[in-house]
Amino acid sequence: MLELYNMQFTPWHRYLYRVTVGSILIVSGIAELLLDPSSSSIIPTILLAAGLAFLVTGMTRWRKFGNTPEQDERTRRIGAWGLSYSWLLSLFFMAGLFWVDYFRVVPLTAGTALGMSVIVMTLSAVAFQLYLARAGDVA
Amino acid sequence: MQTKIKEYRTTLGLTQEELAARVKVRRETIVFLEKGKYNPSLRLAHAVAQALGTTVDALFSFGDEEGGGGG
Repeated sequence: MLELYNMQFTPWHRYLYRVTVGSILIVSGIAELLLDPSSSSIIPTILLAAGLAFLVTGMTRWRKFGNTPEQDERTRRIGAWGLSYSWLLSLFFMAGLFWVDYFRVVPLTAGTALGMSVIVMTLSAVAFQLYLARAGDVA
Repeated sequence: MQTKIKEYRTTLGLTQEELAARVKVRRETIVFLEKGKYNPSLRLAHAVAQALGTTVDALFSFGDEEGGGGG
């Protein structure tokens, strides 16, 4: 199992599936539009957007990483620790939101609290991982 | 932690990219290893030592050691 996890695909195989899936989704979306132009379904839009996402990420990753591995033990470690620090910070943030709402310091709706939490979780994860990447290691 | 990775690498005429390819890591990992800013796993340390034709003890040392090995 470890060997499967560590297996290094050649770049050709590693990104071809993304480009292929993206192309298929885009063609499917276009076909859906052409076959039923009067339809107001959202499915063609979803297919085109998803296909474009697959295609763009596949091609940018292929261009960025080429023959080099996308991940190694150092980047996986940084990713894991960055997410851990982010989780801890987000926990404190949400605890703070609870007390802010409990003592009615600021009126919070569920949507506001959730939205702020998502933003903090996302930004902190990115920030911690960038910081650790610059430092080189988690220690 | 100090390393002699750069010395061994340049002696063998390898670039960082070439060494990274041999041990299947990213070039940045080799950079941080050479600077002593990344503590590798035993598996990676062994792979780097093998790629450079030496031993883990010869490549890595810690600040208060006067030489390799213990006793």
